[in-house]
Amino acid sequence: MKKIFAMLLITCASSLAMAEAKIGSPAPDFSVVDATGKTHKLADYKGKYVVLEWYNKDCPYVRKHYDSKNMQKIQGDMTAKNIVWLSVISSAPGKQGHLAAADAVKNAQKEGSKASAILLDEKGAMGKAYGAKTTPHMYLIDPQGVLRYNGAIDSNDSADPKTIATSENYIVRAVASAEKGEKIAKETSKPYGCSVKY
Amino acid sequence: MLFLARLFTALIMTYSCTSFAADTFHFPQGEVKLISSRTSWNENLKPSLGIHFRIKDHWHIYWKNSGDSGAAPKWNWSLTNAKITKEHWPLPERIPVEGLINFGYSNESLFVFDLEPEAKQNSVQASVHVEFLICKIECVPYFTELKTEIPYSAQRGPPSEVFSKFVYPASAPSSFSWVPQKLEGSTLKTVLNLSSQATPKNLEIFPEDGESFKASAPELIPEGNNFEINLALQDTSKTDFEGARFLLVTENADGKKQGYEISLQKTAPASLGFVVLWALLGGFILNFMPCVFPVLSIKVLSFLGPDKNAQSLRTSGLFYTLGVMMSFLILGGALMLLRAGGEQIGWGFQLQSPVIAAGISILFFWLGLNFLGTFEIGQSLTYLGAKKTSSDRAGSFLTGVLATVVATPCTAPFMGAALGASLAMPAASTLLVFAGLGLGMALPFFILAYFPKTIQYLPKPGAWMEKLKEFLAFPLFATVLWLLWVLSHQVTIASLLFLLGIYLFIALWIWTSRQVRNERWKQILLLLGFLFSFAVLVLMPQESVTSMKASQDEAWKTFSKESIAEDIAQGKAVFIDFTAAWCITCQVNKKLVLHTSEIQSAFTANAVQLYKADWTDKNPAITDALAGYGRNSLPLYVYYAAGSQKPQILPEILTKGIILELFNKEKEQ
Repeated sequence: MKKIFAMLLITCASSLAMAEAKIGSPAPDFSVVDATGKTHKLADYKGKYVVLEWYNKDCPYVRKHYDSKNMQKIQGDMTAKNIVWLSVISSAPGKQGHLAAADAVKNAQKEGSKASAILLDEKGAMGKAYGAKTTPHMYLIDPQGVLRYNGAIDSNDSADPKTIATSENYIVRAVASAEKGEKIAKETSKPYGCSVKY
Repeated sequence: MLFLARLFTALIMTYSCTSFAADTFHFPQGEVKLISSRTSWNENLKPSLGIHFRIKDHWHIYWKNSGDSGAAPKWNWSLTNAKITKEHWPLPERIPVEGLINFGYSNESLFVFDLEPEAKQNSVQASVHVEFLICKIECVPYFTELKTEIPYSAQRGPPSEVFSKFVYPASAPSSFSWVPQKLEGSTLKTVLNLSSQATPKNLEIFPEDGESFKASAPELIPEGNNFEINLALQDTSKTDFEGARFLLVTENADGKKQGYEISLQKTAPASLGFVVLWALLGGFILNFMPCVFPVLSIKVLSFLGPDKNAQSLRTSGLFYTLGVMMSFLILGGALMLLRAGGEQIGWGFQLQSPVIAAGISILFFWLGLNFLGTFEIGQSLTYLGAKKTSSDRAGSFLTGVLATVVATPCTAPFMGAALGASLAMPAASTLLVFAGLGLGMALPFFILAYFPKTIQYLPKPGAWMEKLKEFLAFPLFATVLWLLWVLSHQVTIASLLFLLGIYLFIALWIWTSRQVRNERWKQILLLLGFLFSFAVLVLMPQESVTSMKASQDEAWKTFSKESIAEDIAQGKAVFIDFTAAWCITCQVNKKLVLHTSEIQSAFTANAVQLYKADWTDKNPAITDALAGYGRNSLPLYVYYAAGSQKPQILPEILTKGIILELFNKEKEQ
């Protein structure tokens, strides 16, 4: 029985068509509760830049950016500039990286996360609407609600934190270009890391 | 949770273990090993290094494009006394993981790195820092340092068997073409033409560029040897995909996988409209070919009788046109059927096959001689068409058919471009091109039938036709030259000379058949002789230039008295081939025996040191050596069995059996 159920799950997962958030088009709306129980909608952030970060505390590639404090530093720089940073956990209950609300709060404290909020997307609706494939997977939405960046956090898909210093950080570059009103040189890239555990 | 904890412990251990370098690294999901393709290296045996993974069920590592998630393995080499010249990734698979698609390897895989060693007599030391990600659903990255050493040895070390276990991509043959057609939303429509591969089985496509293309399998719509391939785009802002690299994986008849590296080409093929227009023009020109013109002109003259009214003229014109077009369409259909059946026949000139290229060159040579007027052929057919002058519908239709039949030998030089282009297109387009050819050819007659006055503008048959015909022999001969050039890249000079020999035979045949004009059986005998010589060409062992060169470079050392003496002193088996380009027996022995893959592998298996003493140019050392064996002529084959100081002189005419016998004896002793 358990086996059949698992097989069904796998079949369901693989037949789920991934929606694709398109650069230059309005970003898909979402309505997701955060770790503190507050509901977040994209519409709430009209007029502000929004960065989405897919998160899984156990993924080695997430660890690369958190253990080195790289992610927290970027989060701090961004939120200081009044940019909204949303860390999204799309791991389903029972899957790697899943966190219940209380644990998510504790975990964020332990990580020293500087994110504006930790969104709990247990059912994966938001993740699938954006086509989030990996952790980390980064998106940038501009103040008009248009999607401006979709892809990896930086240019080196190594799991080695030593490579961070020599990599080009795509999300930092994207925000800088967008703020200056320039065209973003790299609007999409191939996200790297672990698969999102829907 | 416990599992995760274990993974992490493993991970931490990996980090802490990196200073520890051995040739193997064990991790909870498997092991990775640094291996050499041979136990030793020397000038004649360049080694390769391999990073060999063996991992447990359900886990996988990644290809250079990892697909939707994951990351490719990375390596950082430090080598002493060698450099890496090339790296090879084995053929990957699509691995579905929870709704995502990854490209990678499960179970076992081997990444190969070709080496170019530097200082002779020294060993090659290699150390590599490897980072790889291994995933089931969860992923674990590992970092490790692997080390190995390949000693120098004049002795041939046994090859590592693992290296022959995996398949690596080759560059796609130049006959493969892949062109983008158009961009439709987030899909790039393309046409892939695999001309030389008869109906590829289980074609799979892997994009190297994961930023531009999605990892999901693209939609493939087969059309004979063509595929319409719809590539889903990852990056929809991109419009230029020229040079995007892909890996094609197909299976051969035995179900063994084959991989080809190919990139998207720049130029879209000539548009269909242009090709049809070209075909129309080509068909029109056909009318003025010596083979067709008489049919047309005599047919036209037959109209001009007093009892011809405009109506019956037009009907006649219409049916002639129908006849021509129908024949062309049937011809096109037959060609496509053959193509679909995997036959590489037709105007598409599958020049990848040397036999077909040779056959076409013979046909063109023969046609060229025909155009020059050295002999007449097809005249009787032409006049058969001319005799059918009745203006009834069936008659006109039949004239059209006949005109097409007699026109076909003349078609090739004119229609090559249009037909070639059409064969790379889907079936409907190919037929359209054939229809264009037919219409073009029928057009003058059709116009004449509808506007009889135009007949006065028609050039009169006359001497100019003969001149034109003779001149047209030269483009044909030029085509023959080009075909010979193509062949020179495919077959050995011996096969090429044989082909030229067939030309000589054809010329002789034409000359003789004039002598025996009225003796039909002699003519038939000559024709059979010609067919026989071509059959011999087809059946001759076709060893390709590249494989021969490769085996020569690899195995045969240049003659050196000292080096041979040393090998014999060390107790190695030695074979010396005294040869010269001008020695026909030597060449025959070389082609039929010594350089065949069977004998070559027998030599390798028995670790025979091979020496080639080339006496093509004067070489006193070789003259002396010959004298030493009591000879002053070629060929001479000398063999020293392993551990024996006594030379064995082999017969002048070698067979595979003679060579293989050498090793059998050795084993019995």
